[in-house]
Amino acid sequence: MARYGLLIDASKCTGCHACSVACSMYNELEEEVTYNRLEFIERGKYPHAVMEIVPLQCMHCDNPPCATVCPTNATFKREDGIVSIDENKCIGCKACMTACPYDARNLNEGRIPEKCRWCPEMLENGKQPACSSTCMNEVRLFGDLDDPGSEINKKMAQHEVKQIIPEKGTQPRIYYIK
Amino acid sequence: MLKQKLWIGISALLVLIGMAGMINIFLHGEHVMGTTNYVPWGSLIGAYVFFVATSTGLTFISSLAHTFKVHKFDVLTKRMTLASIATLLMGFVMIGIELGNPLAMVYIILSPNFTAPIFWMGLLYSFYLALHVVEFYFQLKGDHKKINVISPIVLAVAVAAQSTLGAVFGMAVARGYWNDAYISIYFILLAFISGLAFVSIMMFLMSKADVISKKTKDQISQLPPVMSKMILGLLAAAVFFNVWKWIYTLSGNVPGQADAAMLMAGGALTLPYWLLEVGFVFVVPIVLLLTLKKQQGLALMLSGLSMLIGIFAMRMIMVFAGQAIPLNIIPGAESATGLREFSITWSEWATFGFGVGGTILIYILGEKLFNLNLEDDHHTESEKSGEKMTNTGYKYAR
Ligand code: SF4
Ligand code: SF4
Repeated sequence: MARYGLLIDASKCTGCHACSVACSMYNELEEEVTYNRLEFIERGKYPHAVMEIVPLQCMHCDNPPCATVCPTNATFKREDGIVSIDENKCIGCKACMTACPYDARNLNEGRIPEKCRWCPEMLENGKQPACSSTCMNEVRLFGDLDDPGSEINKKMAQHEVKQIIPEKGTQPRIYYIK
Repeated sequence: MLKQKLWIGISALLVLIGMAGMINIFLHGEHVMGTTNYVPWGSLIGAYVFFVATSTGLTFISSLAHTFKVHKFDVLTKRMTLASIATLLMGFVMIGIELGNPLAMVYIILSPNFTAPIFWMGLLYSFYLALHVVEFYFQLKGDHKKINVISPIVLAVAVAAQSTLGAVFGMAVARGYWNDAYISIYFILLAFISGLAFVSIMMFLMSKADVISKKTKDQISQLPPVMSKMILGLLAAAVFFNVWKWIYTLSGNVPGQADAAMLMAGGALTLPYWLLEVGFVFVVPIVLLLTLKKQQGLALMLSGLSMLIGIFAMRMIMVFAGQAIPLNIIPGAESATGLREFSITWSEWATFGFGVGGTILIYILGEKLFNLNLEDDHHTESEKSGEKMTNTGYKYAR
């Protein structure tokens, strides 16, 4: 069984939003729902100011607080590590939304809190999800963390990586190149 | 009679307006609610907490009679149980409207998640309702043996359910303002105060109502001094909690906690906090109860009203303060600055109105359908057992 992870090289992101658009089209998302977003941070002062961009989406945490608080197991962790939602079981209590430290969830018209799925149908077939395959700068790289020969492991070995707010104890599965 | 018709009229109107609001939410979902992706729990969560906490508080007071044998309160137990059931049902209506898909509730049983506080809260409050109905049935039958068995169980379940409700907030690790080990204990304390506030109003109305027997009114007239002392004592405990919460919050370093407190110290929630929470819950009742000693019934009623309004606001403030501060996911990012928007829409106000009107209607219906006075069952039982009655008509040994 694979153990999926995602490596993001934020320094290459141009802020073009192609990932969000591709994701919305592929997943046929409603207007008010986004599975991934870009955070913009201004650092420094003119003339030395820089704009940092950080792509964010559901971290598919190894210790997901959203799943811990879900009363019906509508949110659950799959064996491959993907945190998934069974919409039929969801009562719409939104506890997962208040529990998530990454603001990863959006309510859809049916009042179900959706989030990035990591498109398992793509990963299982060795393909990159739409957000990754559409990116001109290859900012994202999905892969199997348990496969020593996987591209993601090779790339992670070459760089120092970090997680976002690891102190929350959620053990996110997205790694960012430092 | 006329007065009762007026109460029924006002309550029915509230229920009708409430139904309009609820239908609007049913048709248009979160678009007509004050919730957003960043503030997912809205005012109906606050209203839910308000109603179920009041129900729990009423159980605490009625348990004074049946569990702790403070028989002064015997006279109110049936009425408190009825009111407790009514407020609990209205709490369920509030949460039912807030839930996006209440029909899927069946999965709480079919696919339970034992780590989720909401699972335990749902289970405990359902159990509480069922036990309460059984308790009320035996109270109506005057079967004290069974009541004495069931009453402590209802109390234990009420404490468990209310403190688990505290945990629903307290265990939200992402929200610094709620993520507090003492929140469950504070919830119990506030529930007790809510119950006392409700009973204070009930006592005043009963002492004026023409449908209540003279004997019952006489018995009620003996309660104000002890009620007043209990309210003052519990308010003092709540002040103690609050002062330490402020000290810990402002001196601590929990992400989001001090920022949320600043909303009350000098931000968007300053006016509601100081006026409605501090003023209505603490200052007004303390001043009234300490100064209007000659008219304790009136002081209690006014304090009760003030506390219920204040506690209602307090629930809203707690719900919003926990979510209004943006999560600091990427320090310095645009999304980590400013304040998350929150509001209460007319549909939500109308839904609370339904809760208030519904509580009054259920209560009046109960008064009409059942005999909620003490005399008969006590006479029968004491005559049978030959136990000693005191001059107020209460048995002190059971
Ligand atoms: S990022 Fe949020 S929604 Fe995604 S798994 Fe972690 S806690 Fe759950
Ligand atoms: S909203 Fe749905 S997925 Fe989220 S915690 Fe509630 S039941 Fe689970």
